[in-house]
Amino acid sequence: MGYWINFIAFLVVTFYAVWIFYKVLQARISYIKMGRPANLEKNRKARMKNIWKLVFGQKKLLKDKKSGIAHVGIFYGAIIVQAGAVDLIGKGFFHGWHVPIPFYHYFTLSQEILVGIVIVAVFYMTYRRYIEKLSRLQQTFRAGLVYWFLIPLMLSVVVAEGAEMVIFNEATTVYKPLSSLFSLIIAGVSDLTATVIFYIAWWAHLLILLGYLVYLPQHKQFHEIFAIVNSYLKRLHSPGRLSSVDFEDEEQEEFGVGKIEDFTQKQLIDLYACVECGRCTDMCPASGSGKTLSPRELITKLRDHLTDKGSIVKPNTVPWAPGEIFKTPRTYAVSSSRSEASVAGGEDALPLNELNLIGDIITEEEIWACTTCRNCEDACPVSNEHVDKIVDLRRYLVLTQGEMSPEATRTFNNIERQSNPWGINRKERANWREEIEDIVVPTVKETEDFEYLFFVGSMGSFDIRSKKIAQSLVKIFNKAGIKIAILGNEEKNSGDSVRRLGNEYLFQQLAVENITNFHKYNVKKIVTIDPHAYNTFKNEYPSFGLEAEVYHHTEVLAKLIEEGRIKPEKEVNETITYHDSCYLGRYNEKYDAPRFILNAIPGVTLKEMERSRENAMCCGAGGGLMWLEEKEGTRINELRTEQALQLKPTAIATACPYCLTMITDGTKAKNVEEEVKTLDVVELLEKSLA
Amino acid sequence: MNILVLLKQTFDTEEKIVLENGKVSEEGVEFVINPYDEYAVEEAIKIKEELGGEVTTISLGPDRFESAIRTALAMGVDKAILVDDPDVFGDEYTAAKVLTEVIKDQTYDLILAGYVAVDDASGQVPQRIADMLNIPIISTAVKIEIDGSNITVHRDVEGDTEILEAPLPVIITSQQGLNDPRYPSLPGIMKAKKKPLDRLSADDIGVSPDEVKAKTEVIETFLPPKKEAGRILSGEISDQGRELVQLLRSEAKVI
Repeated sequence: MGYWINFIAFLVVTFYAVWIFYKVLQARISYIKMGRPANLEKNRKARMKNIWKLVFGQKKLLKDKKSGIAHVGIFYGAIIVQAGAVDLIGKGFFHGWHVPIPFYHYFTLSQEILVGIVIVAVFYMTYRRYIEKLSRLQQTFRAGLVYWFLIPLMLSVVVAEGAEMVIFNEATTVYKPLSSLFSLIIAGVSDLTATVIFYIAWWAHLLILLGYLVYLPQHKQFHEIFAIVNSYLKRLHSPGRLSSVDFEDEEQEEFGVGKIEDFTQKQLIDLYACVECGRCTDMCPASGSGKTLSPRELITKLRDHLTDKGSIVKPNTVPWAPGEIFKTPRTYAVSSSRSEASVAGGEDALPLNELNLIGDIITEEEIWACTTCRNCEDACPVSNEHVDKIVDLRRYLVLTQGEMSPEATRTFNNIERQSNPWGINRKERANWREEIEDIVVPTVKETEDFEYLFFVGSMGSFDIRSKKIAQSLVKIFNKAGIKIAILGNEEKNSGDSVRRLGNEYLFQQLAVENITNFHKYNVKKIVTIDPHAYNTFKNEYPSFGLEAEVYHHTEVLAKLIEEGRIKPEKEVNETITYHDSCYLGRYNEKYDAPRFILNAIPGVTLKEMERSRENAMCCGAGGGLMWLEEKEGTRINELRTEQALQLKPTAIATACPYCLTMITDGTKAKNVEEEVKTLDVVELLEKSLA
Repeated sequence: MNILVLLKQTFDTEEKIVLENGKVSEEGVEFVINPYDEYAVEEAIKIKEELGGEVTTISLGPDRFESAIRTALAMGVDKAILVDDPDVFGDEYTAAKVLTEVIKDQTYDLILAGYVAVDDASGQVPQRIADMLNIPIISTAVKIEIDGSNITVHRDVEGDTEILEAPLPVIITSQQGLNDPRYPSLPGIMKAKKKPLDRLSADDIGVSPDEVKAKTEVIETFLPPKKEAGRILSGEISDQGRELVQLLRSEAKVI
């Protein structure tokens, strides 16, 4: 009789929990489907490789060694111990049964070890979150709720197993170390008591497991499913390539993302994959310098807005169950009075789904604070892609609404009219070359005989300081006998800033004009001193028809040194730290060429900053922010300069005219511009050439 | 609130002036809305957005003006009038006379214009129109507030601010600082292609070329002399002083 009651109760509870899990999961999937279909590249092999690397290899998690190792313990421990649940649950129905596998005692041993590991890992994680109070982690009760599922779940395994050992009078064994320990503790109790203890633990295990199943999709623990999905679906092309807008369709009235459904389904999956670990915000230069933007909050606000809006648009779905006990408090601060009324449910309340994505959920300050440096994406263990969301929101503001700061308007107008951000006369673009003595830099009109087209960029052409970078480079090329030509006054702005500021329309115009010129003059190889132009030529222009090899000047120079075509012989006695450009480094993984050049210069001592290579902090100029005012918080370039100054260098080297400007301004702000030089790698190299 | 905006197309402020056969060459030049007129356009649209009504631009000039007018339409202007009849092109008098005739056929509460055009920089046309229409004019506005049928204008007076009030209708000319002109949205640009642009000839507005004939004549057009490199005097201070006076008298001929 008791057996059947137990069995029926088991069926009812299990069915109920699975049903809720299904409904809640289905709700979220239907919300994701509100998004536009995503156009993903088909390449199963590459995608499976990402699963191995990111899910089973836990690659990104291990960037934070301490938390990473604890997570590996929990990840593998929990998976394998969950498999052991089959064994335990079976035992509740069939007295003395166990899963029929060979070497069962090794199975029990592995279970017990993993139980131990998970318990230790959970205690360590609790310590990290609540005692060490790691700044990137939230210290709320809810944030750590999963710990209180895992500990009793693990203990119930030990208790049930230990009780069973008493019932069957099993001797203690090394294959069940923890259970044996427990069986010793309760040794001597009657069979009935032991059976009761067994069933309490058995039910506890089952209920926690099912409770967890219900809780999972309603919480950040959902990452257990969606992080895997996301690792599989993550973009395979270069992160330096943003999506293109098709302007052919004249019926279109909206461009970019103005409401949550305008995101692609892949972008919406990102939202549910977020585990709120804060690694993104920890690395974000905007968050770090006191701006409103935090990549984690960006994602969680969008996620909660999606769930809110989805549950209203699709009233038959079940976003929370049972009742609202697992409902997460809304993460978006309701800013305007309008939205306060609606959330409070006042008389003239607007339904939640009428809140504006831009303005009520995500503020314009947040949208314009991003430097597109991709440090967040690089740190994200669940492969979320933040930057394209920001650019999509900017596209809506710029293209659909015409809403932007006066500085952005000015930048666009100037580039439209004169093809440079300052609006300097476009016919003066090639004037920089007249400042170099003895060397003739021909335009493509003046010579057909050139190996590289040198794309000077607006900075190299007009900015007084950056012109010197261009001049150093042509001097070295001249020495090495490399033939180059420039587009001269036909060169247009590369469009990188324009695209990242959301003006896709103007970007496509510029891209097409530049590409037409490249092809007209039979350009085969392009070299540039601007990592932003480099990235957009290499990764974005091909979508508009460019066929040419693209190089950053440090790549070409490193090769020239390697081949012995230039020999850095003069000593340059400097202690140098190299600041990685985001668009050269994180976007294109070019970390070694600039370092190779610096190490080839006699007398140079190269010191690495704590944040270097893929962890390097942005200078603050990316994403078109070079041209906008930085009003909120501290200045990003000063923070980065401080990091460099900690090494007490005599010079800070860069490989990007934007970075150079920002870091130079940083040394000026810190009053060290006399003691600490700021130079492009090519300028340091030039000093070393005889 | 119906607002008329006087709009001229000019060279981009960064263009270099090139003379060809004694005339300013337009070859390969980038044209823009006269920047001061752009402030007027922006202000008109802002007022319309707040108070409702219609914004119309009125221009006098060649066919190429259309691109500037379309930009204004993309920013949010509702319709435009362009007098593109070369028979009625002339000087400031001509412009004022022709524009006044166009304005007389319109209903309006407010006329906005740039205080000066960056090309010939005469800064006369709005004043002349005010006189011909016999309505008040307030120039170089940096702030405009409308309360019913009254208007309060903060105007820039060489670095100071003067606050004036006037009844509508009135002509107001804009100074830098009035606003930050918007960047047209893409749907705005699309819509602008379909917005009405009326092209009028002398006949349409009922003026004879003779009656609006220019009252001034251009005798010669020339570029300012090239700036020569400066000279630094050396030697004893007293000698330098003596040399300076001598040079000012004999070479520069200013004393």
